[in-house]
Amino acid sequence: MARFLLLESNVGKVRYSNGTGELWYASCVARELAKQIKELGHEVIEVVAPSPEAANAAIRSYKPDVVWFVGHGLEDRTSLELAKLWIKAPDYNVDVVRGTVVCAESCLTGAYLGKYAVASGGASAYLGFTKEVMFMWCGEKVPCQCSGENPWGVRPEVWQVIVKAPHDAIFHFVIGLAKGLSLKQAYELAYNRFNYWIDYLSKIRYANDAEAAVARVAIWSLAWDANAMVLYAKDASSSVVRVQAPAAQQQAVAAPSPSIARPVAVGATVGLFALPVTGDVRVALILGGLATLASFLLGLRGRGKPA
Amino acid sequence: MKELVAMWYNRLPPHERSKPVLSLDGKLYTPDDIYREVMAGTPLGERLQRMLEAIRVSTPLATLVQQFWSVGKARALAWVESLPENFSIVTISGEVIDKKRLRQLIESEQGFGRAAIESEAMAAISLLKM
Repeated sequence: MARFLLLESNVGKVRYSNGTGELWYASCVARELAKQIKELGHEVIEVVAPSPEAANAAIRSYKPDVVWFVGHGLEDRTSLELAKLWIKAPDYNVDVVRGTVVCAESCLTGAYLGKYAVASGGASAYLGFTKEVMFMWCGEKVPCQCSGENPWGVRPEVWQVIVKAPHDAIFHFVIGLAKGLSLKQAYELAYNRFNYWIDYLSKIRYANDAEAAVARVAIWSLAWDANAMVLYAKDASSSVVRVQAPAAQQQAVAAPSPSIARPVAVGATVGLFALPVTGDVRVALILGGLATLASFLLGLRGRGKPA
Repeated sequence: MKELVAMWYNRLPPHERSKPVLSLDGKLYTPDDIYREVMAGTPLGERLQRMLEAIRVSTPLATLVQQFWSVGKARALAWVESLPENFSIVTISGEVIDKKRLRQLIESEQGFGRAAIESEAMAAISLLKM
């Protein structure tokens, strides 16, 4: 059994009249999907609206194997509730994630902080984004997290998909780890989940032009996020390797089909075994190195109870 | 073979029929345009049909993207026009992109706008290949 810590930020910069915030769009999806991790026999610790101090205390107390969080980020830093600074490279609280696999739903940290956290902060791995993370919402006045209700005139069953899809896809990295996949396989699961939702939204018969247009923007944002998702980990020789999605054109937006009412398996998804790797590191090296890390994850199950 | 064009047209989702899918001599054509010209048997219709057939049997999708850049851009802008008036999308860092900003990004082919154009170029090609 492994321990998963979910740092469920709520308000970053926007607070709705019902007390929720813009970061709850991600956190409510994480809460829903946490059930799957529990059902797999793992321990899940959820900290709602975490201050940096609360997050640090939770990590110290529970010694999680995997940490998921959402928070505003930049290339060298990330934050939690109320956009309060949590980690900043090179020297602010980076080692708090030492020994953990990090899943960061946070803008831009994949450009620098993630690599630094693995190379120098002792993180086992870091999944982040090299660009801003885009997601669909209902604006600065209307909360609609994990809901079918929306002010755009989109049918609830369609909006449910649109509003949850990017967070669901990112969180599938965590689900993959909970299922015992290797880091790279878990990355692939998340990447393929993006393509699954792109394919799904591409094949819906829309009620009107406005609904189709909203879905179109959702497809653009899913492709954008998938392309920006990056994983850092160490290989067997302790070199930091980076795994990232293929070029944008490989996120083919499947042509809409005249008849669809259900999700379709993504047969055309680009195989990540052909992923280009930045730097001089070859795919074979990644496979070999991540196999080593897979054994690390398998070893998680033997850990004891939290203090 | 007007029938093939008619069959192709009928396979398209209704909301796609008024969005551009082809560029010829600097002018953009929607499936509605193509269908109308082909069924009327005009010289333009013959040229559009030849283009349609050539694309359907040739070149891998990814290599056509640059050729379809202007179509993708026009489609992306058309989708933006169809968005609800107060629509916006947001980033985890709190940047709100409303219709006006989205239009600017597409027109300038920057960042998210560029990604939208690429997506729409590929969508147009896929529609032609349906």
